[in-house]
Amino acid sequence: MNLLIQRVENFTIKYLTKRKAIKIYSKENPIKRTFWGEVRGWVDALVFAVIVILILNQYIFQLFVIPTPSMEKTMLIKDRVFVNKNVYGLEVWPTGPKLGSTNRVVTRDNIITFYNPEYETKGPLFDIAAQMLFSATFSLVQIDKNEDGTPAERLYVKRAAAMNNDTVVFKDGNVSIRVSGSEEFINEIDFRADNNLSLGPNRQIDQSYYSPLKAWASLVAYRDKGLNNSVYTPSSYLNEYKKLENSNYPRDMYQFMNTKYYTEHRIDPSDFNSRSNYHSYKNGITVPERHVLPLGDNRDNSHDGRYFGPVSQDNINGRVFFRFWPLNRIGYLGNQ
Amino acid sequence: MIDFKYLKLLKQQNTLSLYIHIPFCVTKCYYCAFYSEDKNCWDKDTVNSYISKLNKELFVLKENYDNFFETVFIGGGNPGVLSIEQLRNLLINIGPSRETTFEINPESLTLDHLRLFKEGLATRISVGIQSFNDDILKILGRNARRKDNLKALQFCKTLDSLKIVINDNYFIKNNIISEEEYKKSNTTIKYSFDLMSSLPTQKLEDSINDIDTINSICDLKHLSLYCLSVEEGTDLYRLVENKKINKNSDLFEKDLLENLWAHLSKLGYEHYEVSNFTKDKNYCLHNLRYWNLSPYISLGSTSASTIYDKETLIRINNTASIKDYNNSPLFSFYDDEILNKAQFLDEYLIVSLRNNRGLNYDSMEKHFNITKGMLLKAFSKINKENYVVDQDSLYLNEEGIILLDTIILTISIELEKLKNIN
Repeated sequence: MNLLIQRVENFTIKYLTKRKAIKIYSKENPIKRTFWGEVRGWVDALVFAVIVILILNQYIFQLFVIPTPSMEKTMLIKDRVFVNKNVYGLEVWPTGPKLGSTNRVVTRDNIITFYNPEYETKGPLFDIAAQMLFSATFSLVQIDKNEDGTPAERLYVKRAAAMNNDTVVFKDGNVSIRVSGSEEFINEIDFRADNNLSLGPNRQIDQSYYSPLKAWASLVAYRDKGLNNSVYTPSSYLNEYKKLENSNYPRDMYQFMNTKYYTEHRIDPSDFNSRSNYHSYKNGITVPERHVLPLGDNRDNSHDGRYFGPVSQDNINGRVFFRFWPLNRIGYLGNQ
Repeated sequence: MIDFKYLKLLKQQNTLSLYIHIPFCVTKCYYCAFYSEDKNCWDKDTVNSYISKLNKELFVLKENYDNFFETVFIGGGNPGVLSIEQLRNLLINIGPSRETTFEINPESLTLDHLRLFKEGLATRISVGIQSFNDDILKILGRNARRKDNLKALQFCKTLDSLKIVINDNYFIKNNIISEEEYKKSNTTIKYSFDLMSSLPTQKLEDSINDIDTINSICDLKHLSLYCLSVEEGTDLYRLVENKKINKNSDLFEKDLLENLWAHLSKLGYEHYEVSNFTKDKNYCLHNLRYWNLSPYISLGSTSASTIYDKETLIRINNTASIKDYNNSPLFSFYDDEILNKAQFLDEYLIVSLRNNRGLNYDSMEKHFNITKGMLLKAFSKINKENYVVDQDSLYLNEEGIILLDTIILTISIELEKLKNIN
């Protein structure tokens, strides 16, 4: 028994004085400051910092640069914002499963960040490396680029404009929404005003642009259907189309395709492809369970849910809640 | 080719009818002289691209006419080879009309076709029954047998009792026509059967039996009773040439027709055209227009159209095979033929004397400067028992109808002579 007590005593003394002993030892035998030693020290610190940042980014908050004007005038291009990363549950790893997200869901009008559904991955290693570098450099270095050299958008920032079971139709760029449980479509502007929602969404294109745009889309449909002979092309379309000057890309691609498929369907109702496309444009977008329809506030210059459809809650990883740069526009960006 | 000139003429037509030819059959009937190709010559893709081409031409036509068609007829071939969706889409593209008929063979008729009537896309159906005798159907090369024909009768019986709900009407639902417009037009569903007589081995009793079979099952309001004609180029023609099948003598045929017509008249049918009969004035509006030389446009391979440029009648014929039609630009293979006054008159005599409205004095004078006196003078060459001189028109009676071809020829020659004298 004594022996046991003796051993415990020794162990305790050794344990408690260990740090002091090491300190004394290192004072007596100092490590030489070598060049490689320095480098190793710095790298060590940097790796540690990056890991901390990555963990912060993944689970707590992330800094984000607004890459496109799609959210103007709520957020301008090059604005820097805080993204809260745990409001909708903890994402275990980027694009991985989320923990505790059952009851923490996106609510209407949140400004959300989500994985670009149309993103073409260059492989998981590249993804991780690119994201690490991006985070480690505080969003200054972006190596993930599209073919044309513009930075690839891994994440999108949009507003959750429509929720579960809502149906949204777009006519001449104007949004009408049939909210879940309601029977009628309401103009989105009225809907927002009635429900104290953000008045951020705005239009840039003048309504008079739409008549020539539709004429243009119809002409393309005539051409694609083999009716390009001028005999078959109504001159009213040509006259309308002429009003568009120096235009080589439709400013409202959604309406353009809508009209094109409609005309194709009229020309040849037996073409099942244009018929099904026409009807999906006509019926609009119905948001499925646990999905939201993200739309940019800058409705006329936003590549959003109109084109890639509703986004699953599982792919939404954060919520924009604060702008910290530029300093003169610092402020809260949540729901009103 | 229908060039721009003709498309522009469409707006000039007061009313316009539409005929669409579906030249597809599963097998070709031995007697058939219409253009169609059997199942060996086409597949699903051929039909798809044919329909696609038709729809495009129809679209251009509609753009240029900018109005609804007066009457529509989809014939063949057998439009029953189209899938129900294809037929429905075509009918939707055609739009509403006062009467939209499609032809079909009994074996192709399915309950799905009822939907077309419920939605008001079609208002009339013409079923090629031909006969109820299996042996005769075999000789004709038909695919349908007695049981198919009886099924088709049951289908039409269903049509009689079909409840039409206005809200189901496709054109009203899609705001293409208003409810008032719909109510103004004739909204009843009609059906018609084709029967054949004077077939090899067929006796008078067989034909009468066919008519009675139909009437025992449904209340038929329109019947087309044809007399088998052996047309050059058909399989039947070759069989007759090779003496495999005997053709009935003219005398037998005359006797047979007279008896059948008498039987139909006893049943209450009005004999309103050489081979068409109707009860309660359920005429085929499309054919009436055809016999009036009213303007109509035909689409599809081997089809003929009639349009007017002021007072001039223009015939447009399409002679393309299915393959040519599918693989050519829009409106190629449509050849026009401008009829001179004499040709126009002949056409007019041919179509007018076929039906019981006959030659209207006013229109004869208006179109051809032929007075009632001149007409009567021409008809004096013809046996008085063959025609009836009425208050405002002159028409052939049943004795005259039997001699139709000879009478038309005589009158045509006489009228030409008279006009030259004037």
